[in-house]
Amino acid sequence: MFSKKRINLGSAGWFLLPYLLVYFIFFFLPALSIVPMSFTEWSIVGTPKFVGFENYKSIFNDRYFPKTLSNTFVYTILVTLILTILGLLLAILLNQKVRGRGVARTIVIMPYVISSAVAGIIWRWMFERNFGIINTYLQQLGLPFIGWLSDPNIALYSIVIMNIWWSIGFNTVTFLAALQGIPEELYQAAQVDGASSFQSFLYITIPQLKPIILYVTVLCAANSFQMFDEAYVMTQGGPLGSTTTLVYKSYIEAFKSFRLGYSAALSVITCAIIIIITLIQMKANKRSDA
Amino acid sequence: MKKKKLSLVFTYALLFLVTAYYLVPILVMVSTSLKPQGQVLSRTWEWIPRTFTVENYQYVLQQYPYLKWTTNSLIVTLGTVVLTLIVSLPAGYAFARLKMRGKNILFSMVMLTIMIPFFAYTPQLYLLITKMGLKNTYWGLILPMSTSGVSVFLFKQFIQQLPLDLEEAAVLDGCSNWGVFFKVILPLTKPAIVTSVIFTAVKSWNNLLWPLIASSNDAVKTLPVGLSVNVFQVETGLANQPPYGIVMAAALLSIILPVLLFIFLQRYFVQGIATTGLK
Repeated sequence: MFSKKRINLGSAGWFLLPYLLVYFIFFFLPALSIVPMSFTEWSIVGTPKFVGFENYKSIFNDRYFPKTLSNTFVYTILVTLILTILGLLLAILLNQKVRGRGVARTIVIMPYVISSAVAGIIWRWMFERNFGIINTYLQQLGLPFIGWLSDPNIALYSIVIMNIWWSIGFNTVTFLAALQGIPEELYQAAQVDGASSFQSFLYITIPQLKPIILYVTVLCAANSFQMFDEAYVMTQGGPLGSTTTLVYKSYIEAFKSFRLGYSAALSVITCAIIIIITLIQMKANKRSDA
Repeated sequence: MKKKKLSLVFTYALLFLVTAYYLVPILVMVSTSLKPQGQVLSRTWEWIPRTFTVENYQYVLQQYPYLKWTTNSLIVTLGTVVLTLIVSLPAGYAFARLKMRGKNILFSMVMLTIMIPFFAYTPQLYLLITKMGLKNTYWGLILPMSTSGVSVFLFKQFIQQLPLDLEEAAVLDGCSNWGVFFKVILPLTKPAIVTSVIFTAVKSWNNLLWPLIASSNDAVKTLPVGLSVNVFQVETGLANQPPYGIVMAAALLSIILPVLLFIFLQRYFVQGIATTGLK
């Protein structure tokens, strides 16, 4: 018995070794080193200079920082809400037993395999001010041009519209699979009791899908929080910083302005925000379980 | 009966509208790529080009190392998928079944890879890769992408809910842990492997941020980087009016492979995503 346990002990290590090796070298050490880096000033050449809390101070004194923060959150919340609700509605539509739904499913899910860079380029062309398809049709209808990507009040929402096209497929497939897992008898029983289809949706579909809805919401929030490709291809963070998010800002600071300490401080702040949100979420989950 | 018919008409109308919305950008891309530059910049939108041309495609293929970029993307995607499986499958098995002190702490540390955004440590990763001499190599693009805990988590969850009997029988037959892993666990874990392969492949094929930073050289540059830096920024930067015909031709060429794969493997694709959702 004792010797068997020892064998287990030893081999668990061997099973974990390959993963832990790449984990520590390519994730843990680089991720950990952002903390000391955030207290230095460094432009890749020369040696890092210790500056204490200077980077943090200049981030909080930056006039554009609140804007960057609010861009990130507005975008994350909007995309998460819209993609979850619309993804569910689309799944219900594509779950109807009608002809042609197979083709419709393929078409709706397909954009998900197109890279976000390519999707961004296609939509940049559609949003183009003078010759893009959307504005040419608006003009034919006698409506004014819209600066989809050039108006600072609109650009972020244009990226949201593009994302509805690009990334809804994943949510729709997830919901479709879950919908098909709901027992048909539940709906039949409700129908016998005289429930309308809206009531069935509210009292059967939604409660049955609750764990999946949570899963999709969390995944969506995590992905949209890290939006980079779309801003890089479509707007380069502009106009007037209206589509600059935390990721985009870190990228510019580290790889365009070569302010590595500053960028590291941004990362530390970002991670702190994520940890706080996760803790709140865990507490909320515990409360709803109790 | 009448009400049923009405709702059917409504369903079809809605289905048509939704499908149109998802099809339009694709059609815009196809249509634009087949137009000569003069027709692209037109004040009225034409779905069918007045004169068809393939000169945009010829230009892209002559001007840019398109085939090389595609091969690079394939190598990096394949490498990331294979390495992810090699490291995550045994780890998932160990976390699900084997005993070890500190296993739980180790597992929460793995979950950190899901919580901490990739961009937060990209500059440090870049410095590391440069120091290791892996900048502008396939390994430099593959290794940092194989640390994600998503696959480890997926495999752990999946293996945990497998019945223990088969493994016990294999142990009684004299199988070592590795024997159990290869002969019993791996064949049963196929659905989760399909999921992991799809997730990792889509993510790697689409990745822009990391290859943008770690590859500056056409020898290893991937498609998304070539497209958005070389084709898109150069072409739109050169001219007053961006030659969208060329850009759309390049975009179309880049999606042929994933779209074909998706259409032929759609069943696995849908099953793969569904497997994660049902956890």
